[in-house]
Amino acid sequence: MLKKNKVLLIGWDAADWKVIEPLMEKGAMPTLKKFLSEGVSGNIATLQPVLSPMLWTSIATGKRAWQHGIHGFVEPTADGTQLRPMNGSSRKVKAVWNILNQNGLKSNVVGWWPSHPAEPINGCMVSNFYQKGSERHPEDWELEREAIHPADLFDLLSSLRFHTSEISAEMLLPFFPNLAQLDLQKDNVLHGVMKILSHAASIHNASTYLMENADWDFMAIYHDAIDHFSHLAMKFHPPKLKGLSEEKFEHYKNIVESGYRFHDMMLERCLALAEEDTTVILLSDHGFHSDHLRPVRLPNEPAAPAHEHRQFGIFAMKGPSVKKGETLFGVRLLDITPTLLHLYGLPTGRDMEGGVLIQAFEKAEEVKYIDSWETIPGITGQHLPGLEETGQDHFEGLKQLEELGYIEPLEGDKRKHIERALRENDYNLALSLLDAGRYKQALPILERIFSEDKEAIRYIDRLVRAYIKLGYKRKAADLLEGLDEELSKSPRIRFLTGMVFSVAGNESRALAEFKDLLKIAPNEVNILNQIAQIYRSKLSFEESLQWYERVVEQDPHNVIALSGAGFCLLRLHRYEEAMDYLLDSIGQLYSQPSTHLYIGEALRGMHLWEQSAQALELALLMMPSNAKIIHFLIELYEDRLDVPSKAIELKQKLEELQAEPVMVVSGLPRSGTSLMMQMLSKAGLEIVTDEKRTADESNPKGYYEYEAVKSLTRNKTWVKSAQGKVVKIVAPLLPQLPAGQRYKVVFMRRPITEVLVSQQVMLGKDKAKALRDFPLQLANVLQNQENKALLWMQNQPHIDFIEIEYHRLIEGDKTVELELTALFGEDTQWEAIWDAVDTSLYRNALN
Amino acid sequence: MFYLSLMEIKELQEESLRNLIRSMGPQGALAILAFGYRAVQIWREEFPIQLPTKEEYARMAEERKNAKEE
Repeated sequence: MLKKNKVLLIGWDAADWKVIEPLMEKGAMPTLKKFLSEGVSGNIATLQPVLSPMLWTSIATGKRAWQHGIHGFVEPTADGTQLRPMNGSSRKVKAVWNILNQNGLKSNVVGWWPSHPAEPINGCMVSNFYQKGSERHPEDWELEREAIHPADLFDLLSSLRFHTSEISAEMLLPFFPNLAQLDLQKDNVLHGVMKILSHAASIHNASTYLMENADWDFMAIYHDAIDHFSHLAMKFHPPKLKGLSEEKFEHYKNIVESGYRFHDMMLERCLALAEEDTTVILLSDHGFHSDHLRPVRLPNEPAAPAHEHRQFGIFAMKGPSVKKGETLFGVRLLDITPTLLHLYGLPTGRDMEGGVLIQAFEKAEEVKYIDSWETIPGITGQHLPGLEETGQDHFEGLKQLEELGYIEPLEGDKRKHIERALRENDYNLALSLLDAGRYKQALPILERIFSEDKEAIRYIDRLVRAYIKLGYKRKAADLLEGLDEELSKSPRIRFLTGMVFSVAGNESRALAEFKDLLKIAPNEVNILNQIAQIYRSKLSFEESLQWYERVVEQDPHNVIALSGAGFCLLRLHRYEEAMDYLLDSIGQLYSQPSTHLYIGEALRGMHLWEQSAQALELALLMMPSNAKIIHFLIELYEDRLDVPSKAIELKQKLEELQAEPVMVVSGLPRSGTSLMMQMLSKAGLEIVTDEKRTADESNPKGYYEYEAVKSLTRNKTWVKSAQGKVVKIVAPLLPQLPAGQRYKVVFMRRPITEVLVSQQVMLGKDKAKALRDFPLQLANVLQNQENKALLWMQNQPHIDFIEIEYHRLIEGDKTVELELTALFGEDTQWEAIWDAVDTSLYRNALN
Repeated sequence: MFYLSLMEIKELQEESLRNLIRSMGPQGALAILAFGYRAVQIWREEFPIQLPTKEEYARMAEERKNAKEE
């Protein structure tokens, strides 16, 4: 077991090696330079969308946004009457400090975004509202009680906040060497720096106080200042951007550098306060474009400043069990929580997509796993469900988000703002699902938000891309053709049109569209990559390589171009050169299954059989259903490496994969599973039923059940015979389904209260009595069963599933057809499903 | 000069820290911020600032707003 020392986690939002490296070179960040020599470091790949509250929650939970529930910057208050900055209490899963809490460890958490209201953990929490509002007059600068836990630290920590008006001219001189030439009263850039600096000082004061005076096993500090300095002043950072006046450049060019240097100084202090054997992790959630890739103009849309963010942030770690001076490759935000748990000797959850950064440690200790921390009971220090706020004013928090350009100006109709914010959060949720490769789940969300705002180019963009990914070329083309003429002329829509031509096989029109677009933006890497991709699909690898190389010239870290160039070289049998590009690509972004496959192929071409098998095994881990990889491996194990047992194992896997999936309708009893079975039957799918349970008053159209399902725990042999057919299996039995078989599951959802009343009525009670004697405990049990089944399915690579709400069937919601299409494919007459719906049978609705 | 480091003395006691802050004067301001709460508390005592009145404060905010709109 690793030595369980303290861990200090420091977050610098938007910190980027591209800014840091030149500063370290000239001796301006000595603390970080020393830090790197004492530990490991590398790029950290961000997640989509690149929005900080979602990302920092992913860092602290090991979960993506669609799992952790933080979907944006703002959310409606519980009463739905106004907006508020995203609350930490909206997080649906445990953060690492909650897991540590239930394992008897103490945490101090300062400023984490979002963490308001402070959670009642065993330790201290200073919420992300702590430093806000420092531009109000000091007498009006109140602090919400809920920003500090425990309450007895409130007065002291409140007094340690640093007000904007306390920032002195001497503090500003490093940022503005020509301070005397600026109008101190009116200069908004200057005032911006004062505010950011005071916020950083407040967070640092609270952190240094807690490090010195409160016991802790885990200390997490989050600074947003580098992100804010960068949004404010990266446009003034050297090299001077074309079009920027000489005067402005001279006035403001030192802001970003000084911001970084100040962080280096704060780091020095935090390291001095940490004990010698503390493991320290420093990271950012994303990078920030600081060179010629800085966007000249931002699009007019919410969260537009995120376009300035770069895909890779910084990661550095040092400590007694950590290697020294080494570079780590392939670090992801989702690896942080598993690695933290490992440092405390705790198992990581299988429901966490990331892994422990084993390669960072001197000795590779065994990684322990559990299914999920979510189901492990204990005192976690989370808020109790139903925590309501105390009517506070959200003005300051919202104002800051507005000033940063992350939300629209909050003037006018409140209701419209709430609607827009909810749509924005849904859009973010869809982006998170797309990023996780869950296109089918993202599709209905994207279709809905597009139907609500048909002119938002970004909705069109994502929806068209999702259609393309799912192979719905016709839908993508129809959508673009239906746009109004003016919109169709915009470069982004023309780009999408090119993509649709390309996937539809009309390569010449696609090339014409892209090359025409290059006249407007000759160095636009996305266009260059598309052109390269077309030549690649035409097997013109020499030509394709040239276009990919043009991208790499513009952006040497572009993973698509690096991988693409490697692929072309692979097909040209230039294996060593291919390896250079491919390794470079996964060095930037590790989780690229196809690139690992190409590496395996390149190594095979170089006759490095063993290394090739290793790379292919890794690719198979990421793409467990990829028959091509399995074929390659079978060949290697049979013909080159002489491991017949592995070849046999893989052949068996291949057989299983090539079999048709079993289709399953699941959910809690009385959640609408029988209705869905009837609907699928009407659509022409073959149903597995023995008709032993006949129709009755509760299910006048029949149950569509199969007796053998009830004994699934003991007997699974019948499952294979259900391939290509539909079978009904209640939610608690789902985990009994045998592996080695693919499943497509329609999971029915219905409000638990209705399910319970329906069940009670079925057992002979009348509806009024069922409502009066409502069995609350049973409701909890059912909710638990449903949650467990969903959680289990999320972590099974061999299961695809969709969730359908019973109400939507009764209401005849046609988008259900799209979801069924996304799960089962387009070959079925889905409109026939509605013949099964008889609304008169919907008797146990509560209203 | 702006980037003075206070961290050379790891365990600064209040008096020695106070003397150091006095000797650095205003030029050490950023280093004081970076040292954290203890230095800030002493710095507030050693170099107290005159806060603007609420009216002055509101006027300055208004001027900045106007400048932004311009």
